Amino acid sequence: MKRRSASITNNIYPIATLLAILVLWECLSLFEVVPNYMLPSPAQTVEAFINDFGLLMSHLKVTLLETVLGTLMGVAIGYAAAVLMDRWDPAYKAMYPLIVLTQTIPAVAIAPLLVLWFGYKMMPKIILIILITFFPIVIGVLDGFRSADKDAINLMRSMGASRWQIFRHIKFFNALPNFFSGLRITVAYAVVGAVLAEWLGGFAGLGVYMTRVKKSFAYDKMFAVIFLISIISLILIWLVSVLQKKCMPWERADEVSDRKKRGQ
Amino acid sequence: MHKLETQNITMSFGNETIIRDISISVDQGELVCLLGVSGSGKTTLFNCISGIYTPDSGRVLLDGEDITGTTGRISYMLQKDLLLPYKTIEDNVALPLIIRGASRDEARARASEYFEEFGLEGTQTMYPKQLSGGMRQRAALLRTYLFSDNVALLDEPFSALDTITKGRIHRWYLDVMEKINLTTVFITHDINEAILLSDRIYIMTGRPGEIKSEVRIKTPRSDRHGYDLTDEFMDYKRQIMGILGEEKRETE
Repeated sequence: MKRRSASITNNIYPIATLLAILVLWECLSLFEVVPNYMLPSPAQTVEAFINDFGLLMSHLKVTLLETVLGTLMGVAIGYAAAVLMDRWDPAYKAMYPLIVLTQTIPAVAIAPLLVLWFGYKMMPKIILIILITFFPIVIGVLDGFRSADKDAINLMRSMGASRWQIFRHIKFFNALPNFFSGLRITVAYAVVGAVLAEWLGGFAGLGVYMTRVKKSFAYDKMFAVIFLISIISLILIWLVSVLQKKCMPWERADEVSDRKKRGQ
Repeated sequence: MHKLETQNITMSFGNETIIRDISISVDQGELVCLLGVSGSGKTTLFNCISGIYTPDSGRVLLDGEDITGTTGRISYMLQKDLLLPYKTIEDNVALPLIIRGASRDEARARASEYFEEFGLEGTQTMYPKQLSGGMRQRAALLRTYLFSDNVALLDEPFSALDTITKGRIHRWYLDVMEKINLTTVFITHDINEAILLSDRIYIMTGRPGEIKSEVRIKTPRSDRHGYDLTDEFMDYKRQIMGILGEEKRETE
C-alpha cells in the first residue's frame, strides 16, 4: 500500500507539469499569440484525432505491422548473432568491432537508400527497423552471456553439464534483463524508424499520412498523428514491461524479511 | 579399497606449481577435512578431484576406478551457495538431476523427498533471495547431495555465515550427515570447524601446497555435542596450531 501511494505522489509531478503545458498551449492559441494555422490548440488536435480516427487507424495498422515484423526479425537476428559470437570466439573478434562501427551510420542516412533499392512497399521499412533493432539486442544480450558468473558455470561443469545446458540454465537467464532493456529501447525506436521510412515513400502508414496532411497544411491533423505515434510507443514500451514481469517472476519475489533472518 | 583416493597429484599453472604430490584417501561414510591457510592450493586440488582440471600428474580414483579429468562423478559445493536467483528452490536443488537427463517432474519429485530431512520444508516454491544465508547453504548442500551420493567436496561451505548461524549449522550438519551417510571432503581454514566436524584432518601447507600432516579425531561424530569446550578438543587444537606454526617458522 505504502509503495502504491508513493508512486502516485511521484506521478503527480509530471502529470501536473503536462497539464500546465497544455493549459499554456491552449491559451497561446485562444488569445492568438501564435496564429492558429501554425499551432492548433490541444482541443483542435483532439477534434482532428476524433474526426480522422478511422483513417488514422487504417494507417496505424500498416505502421504497426511493419514495426512488429521488423522488431521480431531484428530481435531474432540480433539474438542469434549474440549466441554465435558467444559460442565461437573468431565470430566475436570478426563481427563485434564492425557491429559497433555500423552504429556510426545514422538510420536517417540509409533510409533513402533502402527506399531506392527496395521500393515503396513494406520491405525497406522492415529492413530499416531490423537494422535499428539489431544493435541494442546483440550488444545487450552478448554482454549478458559474457557476464554470467564463472563459478556458477564451473559448478555446472563439475556436474557434467554440456555447453547447451550451461547456456540454457545460466547464460540465457543472465542475459534476460539485458534483453528486455534492449527491447524496451528498441520498440520505441522501431516505431519512429517505420514512420521515417514511410515519409520517404510508401502507399500507407502513419508516415505517409503525415506527409499528406503536411502538404495540405492540416497542422491539427499533424499534431493528432504525432500524438498517436507517441501513444503507440508508450503502449509498446508498457507491453515490453508487462512481458518482462511475466517472464521474470523472481524479480517480484520479496526479499527475506528481517524476522525470518533472525529466526533461522 | 578407499571410496575416493588421489595418488600423487601435481598441478601447475604456467611455471608455478600450485600443489605437489598430494595423496589423500577417504573411506565410505567418512568426513575428511582439508585444513590450511589461504593459497595452499586446496581449491585447486578440489578442481582436480571434481574433474574441472586435469592434473599434470597423478590420478583420482573413485571406488578404484580412474576418473582423472572426468566431470559429473563427484559433487562439488562452493563457498558461495551459487543458487540460481531465477529458479525456485526446488528447481535449484533438482538441477543436477535435470542435467543428468531427468525430466523436470521426475527431478522435482525426487528432490522433494529430501526437503524435510534438510530442514527446508515449505521453501520449494520460494526464490533464493527469500531465504536466509543458513537456509541457502542447506539448499546448496541438498543440491550437492542430489548431484551424487558418492562423494561430496565442500569448499569452505560455511565460511560466509556469521558465527551464531555457523554454530547452528554445524550441529545441523553433523545430524544430517549422520542420517544420509554421505562421504565428504571439506575445505576450511577454521581450526575449530575442522576438529568439530571431521573424522580426519589433512593439514595442507606451503607453496606449492603439500600434505603436511594428518590428524585423526578419536571422539566419534555422534558424541560431538559441546565438544568444542572439552580438553580433548583443546589438545587437538594445540597440536594443529603447533603443526601450522612449525610451518610458519620454516618459511620465515
